[in-house]
Amino acid sequence: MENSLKVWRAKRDVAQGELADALDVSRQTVNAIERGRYDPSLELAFELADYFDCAIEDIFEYEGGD
Amino acid sequence: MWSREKRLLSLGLLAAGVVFGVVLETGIDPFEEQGPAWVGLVGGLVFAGVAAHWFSRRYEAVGDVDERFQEIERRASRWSRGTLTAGVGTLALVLLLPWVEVPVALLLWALLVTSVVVHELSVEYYSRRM
Repeated sequence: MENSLKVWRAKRDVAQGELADALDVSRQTVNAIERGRYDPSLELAFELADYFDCAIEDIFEYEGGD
Repeated sequence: MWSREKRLLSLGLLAAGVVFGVVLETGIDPFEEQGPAWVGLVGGLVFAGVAAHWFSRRYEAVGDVDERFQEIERRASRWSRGTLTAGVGTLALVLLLPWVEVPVALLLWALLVTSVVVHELSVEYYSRRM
């Protein structure tokens, strides 16, 4: 799964730490999501979309099985 | 890192549990003909288990444990549990052989320590990968 979290964060000028605090996760988790090392749960994905006031698909892109 | 300090504290508690087990074993030993290493071992394990459970509950209450950390812990626990199960299983098989004599208590301690080491190494590994 790919994501454009870094772009969204840059657009809103939000630091990783700020976003982490708002979502009640660690800064490392936000960093891991941005780097594509960790796929967040559906709940966290919804929270991210809610935070940036957009749809989940705007942030995350599912590459598909085939 | 905050959670890392707590984890070290948990490990300290585990060590305290092991020491508790050894002390218990030493305390009871003079009263028994056979060294009740099992009592000491089980006592230490129960103490360590209760302490670890208490700390994990506190982790969650504070909220520093997020879903990624839990996933890392889950994976590490899988490796640690697997190591312990494989070790104890192998030991049990060896004990079935009547002509083989092994220092059971010592090996159980070694397995316990190994599983903790495996857990910590796994946490480090997955923390870097995820």
